[in-house]
Amino acid sequence: MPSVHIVGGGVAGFTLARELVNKGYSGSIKISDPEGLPYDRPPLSKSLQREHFVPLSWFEEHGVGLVQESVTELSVPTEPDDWVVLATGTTPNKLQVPGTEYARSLHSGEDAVFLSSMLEDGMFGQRVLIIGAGLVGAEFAATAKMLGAQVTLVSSSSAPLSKVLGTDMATALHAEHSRRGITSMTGAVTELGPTHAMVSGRRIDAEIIVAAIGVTAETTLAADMGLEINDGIVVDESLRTTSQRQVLAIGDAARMVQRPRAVHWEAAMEDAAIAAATIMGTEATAHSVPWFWSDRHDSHVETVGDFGKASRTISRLNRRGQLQVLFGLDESGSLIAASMVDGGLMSKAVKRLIARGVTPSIEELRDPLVGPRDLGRQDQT
Amino acid sequence: MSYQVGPAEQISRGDALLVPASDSGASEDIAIFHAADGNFYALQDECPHEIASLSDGWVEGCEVECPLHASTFDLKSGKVQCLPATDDARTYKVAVVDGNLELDI
Ligand SMILES: Cc1cc2nc3c(=O)[nH]c(=O)nc-3n(C[C@H](O)[C@H](O)[C@H](O)COP(=O)(O)OP(=O)(O)OC[C@H]3O[C@@H](n4cnc5c(N)ncnc54)[C@H](O)[C@@H]3O)c2cc1C
Ligand code: FES
Repeated sequence: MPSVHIVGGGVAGFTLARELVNKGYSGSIKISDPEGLPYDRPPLSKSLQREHFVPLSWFEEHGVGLVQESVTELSVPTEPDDWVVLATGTTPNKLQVPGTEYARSLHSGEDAVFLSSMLEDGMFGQRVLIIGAGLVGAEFAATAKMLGAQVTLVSSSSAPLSKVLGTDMATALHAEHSRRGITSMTGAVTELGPTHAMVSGRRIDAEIIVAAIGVTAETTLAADMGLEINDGIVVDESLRTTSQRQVLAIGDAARMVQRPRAVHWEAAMEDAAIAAATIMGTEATAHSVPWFWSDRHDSHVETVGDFGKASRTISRLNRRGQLQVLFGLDESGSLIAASMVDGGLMSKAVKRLIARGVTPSIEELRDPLVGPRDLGRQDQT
Repeated sequence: MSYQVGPAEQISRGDALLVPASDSGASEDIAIFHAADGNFYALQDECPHEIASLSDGWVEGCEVECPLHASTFDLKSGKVQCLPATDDARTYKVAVVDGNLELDI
C-alpha cells in the first residue's frame, strides 16, 4: 500500500496530513512527533497556551497514525509510492555566553506552560528578563507585562525587525514597549546566572530569563540521511529534496533553491498544500505573496511581501499622526511590501496588489481616506 | 422565522453587512455577504477560530477571508477552506423578496 511518513507534526506536517485526507489519498498516513497531539505555535507567545489543531478523535476518524516519537534514523523509500516528508521545523538558538543554560526558550508547548505557571506564581509580579526583541521576544514581553510581571527587554538594536517591518515601523513598534511600562534597553548579554544577567556591564536580576534570539532549521535527521543542507533542507519547486525524489521537506525546515528560507506560519501551510499535490500527482498552486502577523500590546501587526528589497518607503498616518501603514517600493517604484498596525483589510489588499504587480499612486498610498478595498480592487479588470 | 433586513442594495457586491443578534432576535450575530455571483449568503459573524467578525472580512468569489488570521470560508456551505480555523461556519438562509433581504433565523 502507498504510504506517507511525515516527520514533525507542526503546522506544516499536520496540514499535509489534512490535505491528503481531504483529497482522498488512498494510502496510509503517519505523523511522528515527540510532542504528540499536534498544536499551533503562534498562540504560545500570545496566550501561553497549547492550542491543538484538532482533537485526537480526528486522527482515529481519518485513519491517520500519530506516533509520539523522535525519529533518529530513517531510510529512503525504495518504492515509488512511498514518501517520507521532513517537517521538522526549527530549534531555538542558544546564547553563546557562560550560563546560557539559565535562559529558557519559548518554542514548545512545554515552554509556554512552564512560563505561564512561573508567571502565575509571582505574588507581587515576577521579574522577567527577555533577551531578543524579535517577534517572539516582543510578544512574550507584552504577554508577561499583561500578566503583571516587571519586564526588561534587551535588544541589540533600537529597531529590531527592521528587515521584516521596514525601519520606521520597526522603530515605532519597539518604542511602544517603553510606553507600556516595559524597561527596554539595548546592549549585549555577556553572562547569565540562575537569577541574573550581565548586560553591557550592568547586572539585571530576574526570576525568569528567556532568550528569544532566533531559530535555526532542524536538519539533524536530514543530514544523517545525506540530504543537501544549506540554511535549511534544500528542495525544488515541488518540495522534493535535491538528491532524493521520494523525500520531501516542508515548512520552516526547508528552503527552496535560490530563495531565502521562509519561517512563517502561512508559508509552512502553503508548503503542505504543494507537497500534497506532489504526492498525489495533481497540479499545485504556487506560493502566495508572503504574509505574517504578530500580536502584542492589543495591536495586530502584519507584514506582506519582502522589505529586504525595498529602496524607498511611503508612510500612511492615521488621524492622530501615528504610523499606520508603511509601504515599501523597489528601485523601479513598484510596490513590494507593506507593514501595518491594526490595518484591517489592508494586508489582503496589498497582497493582491503585489501579486498582480499593481502600484497605486503615492498620493493614494498616503491617503488614509483611500480604503483597502479601493486600493486593492482598482485596475482589477 | 424570518427577519426583514431591509433593501438588498445597501450591500454592494463584494461587501458584507453585520446583522446583530440584538436586532434580529437570532441566537448570534449574522453576516450577510453579497458575493461575486450576484447572490447573497449568510454565515455566523464570529469567526470559528478566535474573535473576529467575518463581516469585516475580504469577500472574493464565493469565499470570505477572515480579517485576523486569513482562514477562508465558502459562503454557500460555510466550509472552512484553510487553517488556522478548523470548524465550519454556520450558514443561514437569506432571500431577496421585492428588493428586500429576508433572513431565515
Ligand atoms: C512562540 C512562537 C510564536 C509564533 N508566532 C507566529 C505568528 O504570530 N505568526 C507567524 O506567521 N508565525 C509565527 N510563528 C512561526 C510559526 O509558528 C512557524 O513558522 C511554524 O510553526 C512552522 O511550522 P513547521 O511545521 O514548519 O515547524 P514547527 O511548528 O516547528 O514543527 C516542527 C515539529 O517537528 C518536530 N520534530 C523535529 N524533529 C523531529 C524528529 N527528528 N522526529 C520527529 N519529530 C520531529 C518537532 O517536535 C515539532 O513539533 C511563531 C513561532 C513561535 C515558536
Ligand atoms: S480569528 Fe478568524 S482565522 Fe483566526
